Amino acid sequence: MPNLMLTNWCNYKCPYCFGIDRMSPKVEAHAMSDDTFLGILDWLDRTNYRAPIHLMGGEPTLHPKFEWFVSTLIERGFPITIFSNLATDKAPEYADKLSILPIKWVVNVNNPKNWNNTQRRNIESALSVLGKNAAITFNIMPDGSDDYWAIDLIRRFNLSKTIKVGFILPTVTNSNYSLTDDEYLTVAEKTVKLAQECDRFGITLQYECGVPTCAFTPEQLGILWKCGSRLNSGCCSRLDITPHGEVIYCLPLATVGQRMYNEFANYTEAKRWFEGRFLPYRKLGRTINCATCNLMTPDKCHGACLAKNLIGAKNVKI
Amino acid sequence: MKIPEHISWKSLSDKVVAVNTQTGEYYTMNLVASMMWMAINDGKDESGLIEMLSEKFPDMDKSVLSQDMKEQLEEWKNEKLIL
Repeated sequence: MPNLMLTNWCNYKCPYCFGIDRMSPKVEAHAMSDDTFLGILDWLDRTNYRAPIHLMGGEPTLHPKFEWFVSTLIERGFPITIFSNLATDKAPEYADKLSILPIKWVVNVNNPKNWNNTQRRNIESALSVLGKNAAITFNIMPDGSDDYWAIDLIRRFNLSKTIKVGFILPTVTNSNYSLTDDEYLTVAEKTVKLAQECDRFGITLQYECGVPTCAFTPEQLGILWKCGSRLNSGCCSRLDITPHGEVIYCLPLATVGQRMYNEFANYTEAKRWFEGRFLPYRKLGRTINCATCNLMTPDKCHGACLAKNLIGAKNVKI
Repeated sequence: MKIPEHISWKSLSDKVVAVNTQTGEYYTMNLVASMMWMAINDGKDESGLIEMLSEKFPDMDKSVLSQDMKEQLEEWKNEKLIL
């Protein structure tokens, strides 16, 4: 099931945001309308299975009708995962109202030392009621700081004991801050240290798309495995649907190929179409070695984010 | 000579990787082949290519360079990497 972008604006302005090409101010701010939303739900109903719908943005809690979207999904039997930074003024209220429902929250957090007072109040208030319904996710940055604050946050608010970590996804337009080749190695080393520290508290790591296997040494991969944080180096896109109802493969690739959702018979057909279109380009790889690397199979490695593979590529036609 | 639209490619560390988006076949090129590829992309013809290669490899016999270049171009044409 797809990611539904309820808004295309955010209260944060993170330099590493991989959605930047589809976000205000780069494009006009737009909130998903009731009609678009209901049309998409009818369209999703044509697929014979129910997997969680991801509500995201921008920042979804900034949508003035956020509660209506959630209640409509529940009424129609769609499982929900909400991706939010919880730093908005409405987030604590929504968290409180929705905490009794079987909704999973994935909370995008930056290092708490960078929160201002308002953000701190909102995030901590919301986390305190969400508890185990909330899992945190963040990018491991290629700097000298450790990421042990994440462990403190989980223990303090009794959050889910999994952390989803990312290796900053680039946009295909190369317009956000992303990692250099050397920084992949730095981030991999920090990831291993975090996994080891997490293991002391029964916390495990999961991985966002675009984490290349070759950023880690065999020894580091072994440590991750022993810590219960085995690397999964896939790139398996849920399709994103923008507030206008456009389907895109994923936000890093937002400027390459888009179709209105109702151009496809159903979600399965849309997914198949995008996968088929992008498949040949995976071989372009992040490095010159990717094309011939024996790890380059869907169950082992996708050679990092597909957007990274396409940066600078000629004759890309989706 | 030109690179057809169904060949997507990029240069990584001065080497070229190319993918035929119709068949899914891919090609990684060594440094010299990559130089030739980039020159074709810049619009050079066969005489332009041999001139470029002679400048890059002044110690090489020009007739050998020319023969190697022709063989490479023939291979690429057969693979439909260039038209």
